Amino acid sequence: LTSDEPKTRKSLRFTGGTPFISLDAYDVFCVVGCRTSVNAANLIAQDYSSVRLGLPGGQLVSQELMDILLIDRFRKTIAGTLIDLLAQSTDKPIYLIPDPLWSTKVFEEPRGVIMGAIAKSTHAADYADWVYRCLQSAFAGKATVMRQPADTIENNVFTAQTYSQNSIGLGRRVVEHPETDFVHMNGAYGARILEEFFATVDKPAAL
Amino acid sequence: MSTPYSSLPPRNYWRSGVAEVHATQLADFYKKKFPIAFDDKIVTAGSCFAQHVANNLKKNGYNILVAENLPQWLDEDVAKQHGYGIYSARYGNIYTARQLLQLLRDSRTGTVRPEDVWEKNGRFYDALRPSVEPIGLESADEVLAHRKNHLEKVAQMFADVDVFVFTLGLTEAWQRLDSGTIYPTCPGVIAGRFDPDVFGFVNFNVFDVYNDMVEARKLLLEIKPGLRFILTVSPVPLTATASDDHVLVATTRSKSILRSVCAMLADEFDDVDYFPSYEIITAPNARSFFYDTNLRSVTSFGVETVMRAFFSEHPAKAVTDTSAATAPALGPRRGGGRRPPVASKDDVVCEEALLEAFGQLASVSVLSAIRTSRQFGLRWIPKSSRATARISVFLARSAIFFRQPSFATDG
Repeated sequence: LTSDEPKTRKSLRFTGGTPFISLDAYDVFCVVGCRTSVNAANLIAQDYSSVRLGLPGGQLVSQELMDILLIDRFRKTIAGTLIDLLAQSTDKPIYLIPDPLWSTKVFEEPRGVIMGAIAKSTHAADYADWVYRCLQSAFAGKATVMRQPADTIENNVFTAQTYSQNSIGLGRRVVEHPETDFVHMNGAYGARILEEFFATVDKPAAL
Repeated sequence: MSTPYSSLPPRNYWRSGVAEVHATQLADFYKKKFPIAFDDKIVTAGSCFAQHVANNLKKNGYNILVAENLPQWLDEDVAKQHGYGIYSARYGNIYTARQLLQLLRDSRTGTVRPEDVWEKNGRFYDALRPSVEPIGLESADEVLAHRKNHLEKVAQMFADVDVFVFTLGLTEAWQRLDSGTIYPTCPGVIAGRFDPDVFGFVNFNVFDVYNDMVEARKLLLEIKPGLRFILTVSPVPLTATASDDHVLVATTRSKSILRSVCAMLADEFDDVDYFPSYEIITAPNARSFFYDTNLRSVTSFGVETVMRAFFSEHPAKAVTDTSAATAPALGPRRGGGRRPPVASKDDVVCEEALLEAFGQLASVSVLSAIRTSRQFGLRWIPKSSRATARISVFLARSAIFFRQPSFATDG
């Protein structure tokens, strides 16, 4: 697989060593992506809600439709496209490590309003479950979805703030993310995810 | 000697107005009573045929008020299956004048009735719009919460409307005997259970329909003074009748009553216009040619012909989606044969048509026809050895477009 876009080919060379993804060179494919918080909160929860989720959205829809909305968003992410293409091209196992939920620092941002409202809702306990369930449905039969470890989640809505402190960007230059960054996580989070990942690939996964 | 008939134009004579004119060429057929501005907010409702009217108004630049919608990026078919994008709100088909009046009263008072929740296979349905949730909801309480939310949206919508387009469809209905609540489907067809001690058949007469429409108009004008009305009668025959009459006799009775009431209302009120779509489709010079092979559904060709007559008086706006506005001029078919039915691009959602199933196969699961089943495949992931596995990790964050059909994403 390769990209039509030069910038992405360059990015692939930087992260993987080649400007393309060699399907024969690996036994397992692991896709990291799917912006869970952006999709679930900003795009859907601000306008819609179900009785079960009790989100702040003004228009009540069935849980079935809430799921359809979120699944659709997940499938249309870059990660979703890549998983589709990999699944079409190889029978080798594919794993999805979803982007982490935003950290509680999001309260300091305008976008935090929705997340804050979700956290305060009486049904916030279902939020992380909902995101995970929809990720599973979105990629059923194509990829094993890794669940964000429960011990990294606060209030079922956020990633604990300790994991977003002192995060750095691993681009061509190592850049320290600003103190207010609520999207990127630090090395401790990465280590925790890798631990979880290897624990998962060690046992047969039931999709 | 001159008589009042001497100076009448060709349209006033059957021979020159109909018999010698092709059904697609009816001239000087409809004269509007009042104009509709492109910024007038329009609400549409009614029986299945009303969906065609709503679709075409939208496509031709008219401002259809939408009180309940889904994000535009969602697949249109999914939205439609759940009652979105069909009418201005998710009330489903409103077949009778009484059903319209009931919706207006309920939305005004926020009335929800626990007995209007029907169950089937452990799922719960709003009996007043049973097709908008194809697989039902999880609990009766959830249905009531949804109905309350829906009624709020409907109330807000009617407070904002300038033109109300309503298509009268049926006179036959099923009602709850104790409360008189009218349902769009017979209990047991989509959900619920038919119990003759609880539910009964009603066939409204001309006085009933007239009084209901007058009351509905009054209520709407109280909510929105200055509101104007465009009425049509659905040319779609009854799928089945629960009366003792033959279905053809029952259809003629029903449509005649509805057509009469439209005439009475349009004659009586300056703010009520009647658009004769019924006449275009059922005219003898059409020789049933606007109907599909089941002699019931109206073909897209028929809908186009109807809408052309409408837009001759209410001109279409130049809009991006011109599929309806730029439909080729349609004339008589060479040789005069029946134009082959054309599957309508705007498939309509019609619960009443589900009754057809009872006339064919008693064992057919009616509900299965409107449910969307989802199947998720399973794949076994073999155990991988951590020591020997070569793992490729891809960060799917930047705007990448792989060599396959791709689309803009936000991943």
